Amino acid sequence: MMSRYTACLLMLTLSTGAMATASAATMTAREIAVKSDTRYTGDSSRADAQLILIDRKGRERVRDIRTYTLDNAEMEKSISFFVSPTDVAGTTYMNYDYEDGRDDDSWLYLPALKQVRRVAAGDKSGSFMGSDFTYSDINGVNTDWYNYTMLDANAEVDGVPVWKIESTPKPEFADKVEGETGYIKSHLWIRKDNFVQVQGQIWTERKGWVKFFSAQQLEEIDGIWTPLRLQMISVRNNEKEHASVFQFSNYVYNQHTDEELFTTQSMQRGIQ
Amino acid sequence: MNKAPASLTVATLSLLSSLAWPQDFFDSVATQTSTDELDLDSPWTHRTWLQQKTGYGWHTPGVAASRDQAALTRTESQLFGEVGWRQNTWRLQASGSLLHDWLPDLENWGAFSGYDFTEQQNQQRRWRLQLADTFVEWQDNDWWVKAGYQTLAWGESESLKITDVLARRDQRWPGQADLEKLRLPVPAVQVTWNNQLDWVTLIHPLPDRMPAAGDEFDPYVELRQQQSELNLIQEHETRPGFAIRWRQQWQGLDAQWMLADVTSYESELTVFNTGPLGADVHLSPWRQQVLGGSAQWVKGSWLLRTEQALHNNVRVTQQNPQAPWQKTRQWRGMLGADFNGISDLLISAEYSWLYIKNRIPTLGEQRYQPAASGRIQYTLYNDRLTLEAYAQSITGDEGSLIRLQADWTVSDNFSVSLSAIEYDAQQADLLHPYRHNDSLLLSMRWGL
Repeated sequence: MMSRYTACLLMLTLSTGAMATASAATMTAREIAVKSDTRYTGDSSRADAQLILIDRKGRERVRDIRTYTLDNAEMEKSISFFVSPTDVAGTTYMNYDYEDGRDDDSWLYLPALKQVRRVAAGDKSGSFMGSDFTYSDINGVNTDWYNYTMLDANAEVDGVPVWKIESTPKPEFADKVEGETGYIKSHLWIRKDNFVQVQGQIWTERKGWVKFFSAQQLEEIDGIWTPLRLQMISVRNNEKEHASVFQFSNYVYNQHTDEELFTTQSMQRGIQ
Repeated sequence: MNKAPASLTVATLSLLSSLAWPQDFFDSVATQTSTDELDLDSPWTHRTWLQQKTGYGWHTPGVAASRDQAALTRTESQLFGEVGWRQNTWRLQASGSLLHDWLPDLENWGAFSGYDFTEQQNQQRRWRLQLADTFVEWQDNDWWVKAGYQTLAWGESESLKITDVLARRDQRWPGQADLEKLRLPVPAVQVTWNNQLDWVTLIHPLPDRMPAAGDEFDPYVELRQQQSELNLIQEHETRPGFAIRWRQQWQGLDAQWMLADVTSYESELTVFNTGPLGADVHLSPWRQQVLGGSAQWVKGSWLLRTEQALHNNVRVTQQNPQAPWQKTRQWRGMLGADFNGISDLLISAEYSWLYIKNRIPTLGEQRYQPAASGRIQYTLYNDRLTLEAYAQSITGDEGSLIRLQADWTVSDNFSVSLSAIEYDAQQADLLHPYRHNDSLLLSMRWGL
């Protein structure tokens, strides 16, 4: 199943470089989470990615992908061209993510069928392309549905100061959150200097399953802090079951703004 | 985070580093894949794979086909290649397959003794080069032109052809085709404006690819039983076909309207001459007009689909199979739904119908002919394994088929697929002569 992973990259990883402020010390857990969630991610982007899927025996599968995003006031558009391996080469996925909360529009082009088909946004707790990332990881969350509690205001990750925050669904949204994300509780590690979430520990509705997220290799590209490596590990009863790594390269921001790129015609034409 | 205690010995550290998994779940996972920068800017793209497919029929066919016992039905190798090139507004693509069914060879070599093949079967199973989508395309601003051999998929209905009238089909193994062979390419020019208006000119398309004499699904198998010799003479319609389509997208809804004046890919029986040495049967396509529309609507985890079309001038057989076929006007429709609200599970169902508006009593088909299909697909082990169950009731309650399939992705470059297809039909059903052509298919594909 394909999904809106481009948004994920932005939601999970991007931040303006100049966000560290003097007032950060007085921010509440909610304010920090919201600030992290609403960071500026560029008006458009292009990136190449390798998605590496690793099973418990260490066997790897790799997908090479080129993706574009375009933001406007109404929606964020993304389109992803799958380049390899052979069984997915030529596949294209396109998504419109509406700012006002309406259901996303999604289309999938399968080269075997030579046809663009609309697909339902579907269960957001499902796996994205067989990876450990879910649709909810990819599309981000609605911060209004959660309570945030500061667990440690003076934590560190790799020697860098971070906040450690617990997020739990508000009682009135508990069922909705569980249905849409499959998650029941998360711990977030958010850097104080740029509000990038660099780690996450996620407890799932599947008993004994916990997931560990990390964002690594942060680089400032066109003024935007960009982790070039995202990783999610699924752990069952403290044993690693599966891992997924997104490795990015060739990031370009605010250069590809042609709306024609985000059409079903573009999906059929293939990689641009 | 858990930090390794300083007292760990070098040997222990060495052992830990040899494992793919870190002890700290936040540490970087070691990968064997080179994560150097990708180069996706090359103007060239290519895809190549080798497939080996073997079929086994576990029943004796209901009527006399070459296969007269449970036996292998085919053992086909396919080498597929596709190369593409792009530069600014231009793109080129060439693709095709080299195919060979080894079963007649195995018989010649004494390694297979299931049954004898007819001359036509031998001809169809020999080494052959099959052209796939091969075209040149140009795009500039609102205009997109694509000319060449191309697959035109204008509909989604699985149980009935409604608006999907531009693609040729392979009818040799109903219900057994690979995904990429559900439709065959045809020579055509497509001009698109503003990603909304499509104009297609079909240039001398060939009829559907039909089974060889003696094949399990030979549509003339009963006629062959009645005649000592049956000569099928296929006539061709050379006029180009035309189709126009308007597409519109809204949030949650896609809609298309289409109009086509095309030559059919099916053929009617126009002349039936019998003599002492056998019969000559002339087969001719007909010209038909199609006016239709389709829509796909998304709400939450549901995708609702519909296709509706009026077909004019469609030929239908009479009760007397040797009588001239009749022109009919038909309303064809489909209502369908997909649901993917349960993790990794996709459920699809559709109901379709064919309604003959000007049916005469001698017609060989009912006025109202329903059809239906359903599919359940479940993926697991991080998309390595896909299980699928598919069932279809053929239009007009003429029989049904069930297909169970498992696809296992062993690695990026190797996958295995196992399918079982079971047919079922009553005495009066169209599918009845073919009801015992159940098949087990094993397919292995290597990406090269």
